[in-house]
Amino acid sequence: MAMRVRLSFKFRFPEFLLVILMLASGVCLGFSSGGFLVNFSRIGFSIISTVEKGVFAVSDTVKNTFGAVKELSELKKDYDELSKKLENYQQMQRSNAEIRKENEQLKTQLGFSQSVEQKNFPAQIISRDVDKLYASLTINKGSADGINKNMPVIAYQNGNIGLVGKIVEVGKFTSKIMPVYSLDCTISARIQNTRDLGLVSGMGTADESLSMKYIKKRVLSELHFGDVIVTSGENGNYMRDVPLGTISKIRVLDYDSSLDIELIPIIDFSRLETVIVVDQSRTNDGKAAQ
Amino acid sequence: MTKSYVTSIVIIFCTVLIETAILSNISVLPAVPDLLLLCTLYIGILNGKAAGEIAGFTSGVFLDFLSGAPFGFNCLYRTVLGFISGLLGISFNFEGILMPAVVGFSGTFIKVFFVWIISLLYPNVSVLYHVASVPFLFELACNTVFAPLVFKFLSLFKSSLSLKPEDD
Repeated sequence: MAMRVRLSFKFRFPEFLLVILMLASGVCLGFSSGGFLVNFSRIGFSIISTVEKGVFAVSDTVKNTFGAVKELSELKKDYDELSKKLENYQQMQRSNAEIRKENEQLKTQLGFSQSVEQKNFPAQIISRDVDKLYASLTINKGSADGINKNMPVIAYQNGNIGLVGKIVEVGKFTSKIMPVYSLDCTISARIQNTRDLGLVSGMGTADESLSMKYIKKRVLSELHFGDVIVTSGENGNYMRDVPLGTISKIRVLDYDSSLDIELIPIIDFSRLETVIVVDQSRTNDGKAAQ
Repeated sequence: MTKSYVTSIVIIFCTVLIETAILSNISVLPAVPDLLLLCTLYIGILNGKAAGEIAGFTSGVFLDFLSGAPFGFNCLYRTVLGFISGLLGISFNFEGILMPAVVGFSGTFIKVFFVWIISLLYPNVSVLYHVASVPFLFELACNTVFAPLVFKFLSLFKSSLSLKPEDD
């Protein structure tokens, strides 16, 4: 009797609920690219990511506290060593040229955001893609800070400026970035030296290279490994001449009139912590003041 | 009943935050362990099909809000996974280490299967899930290893999570 009950299939509440939930999910998925009157995704993102920001802040504080204790003992050692060194250094006179050079370096590092012509917002990455299926980065600045959808995002890393991606979702206090390595990201770009125009797209993960298409075969002889690819700025989505990557591989396909070029991104996304969101419609007050 | 669903949602919400705000920022990890999947499987096994699919749907909604995936993507396959775990829960005993590990292992593979099915049904959903890749194998290993731990941890809340009154 019990066996017969187990084998027979009856359309009860759980099955009914499954159909309803699957239908709801399926419809949402089907329309997510088209957009609903009410953007559930944006509202949900705005609410939950704000809490997420809070959790990140707490975990960051805890991490920093533990780090600070360890750092304190190291600082004590360093302090003793540095005290000795300081006695030596105080006897040395630095030339004006050296001081000027040091000053310039510090200016470059600290005042990068002021050097950008457009109004910009430095931000910290608070979360990354959870799975390897869809690429996204979440930052701790949102509409309350002046961030808008489609704003380009750049970063300054190891002395290089590079394109990170663009803002695709804006919450009140957080925003979501579609990085250049995302499958959905396509950018109009030029080879810096030859000025040939093509399209750069991502391969889905930060570990993989970027792909550049629509560069004619006739320019093959002019291309070199390490050549820099920059944004063209033609469609207005991104600023002009922001480096994207360097050429790492060139494939010549017999069936295609264009070259298949692979790029190493300028930005090392695994080490990226802070980014700069650029508002192309407004100029930088700091720059104007200079 | 309400207590069970509220506890489930709170646990799922906390897990989402741990996964997105903390684990995703550890750049050393090739992939993030899918703790949400393990929570969904546990709730489904404990409370049956309806609770499993609701847990799956809820976890999917939270993930869709935070990840770059199109809205509905995670909801869809996690709902089905929750339902399947509810089906299995009736038939097997999931105490100990081995069975939870098997559930974590097979749940990850079933997840990949459903992601593949969705990519077939929705041509605009561009999905990358390479079974032979390091990130996937790492996630698979993590889910397998963490499953007994997560199940053990969630069993601490069994009285609040369970829809059925506990046997004395």
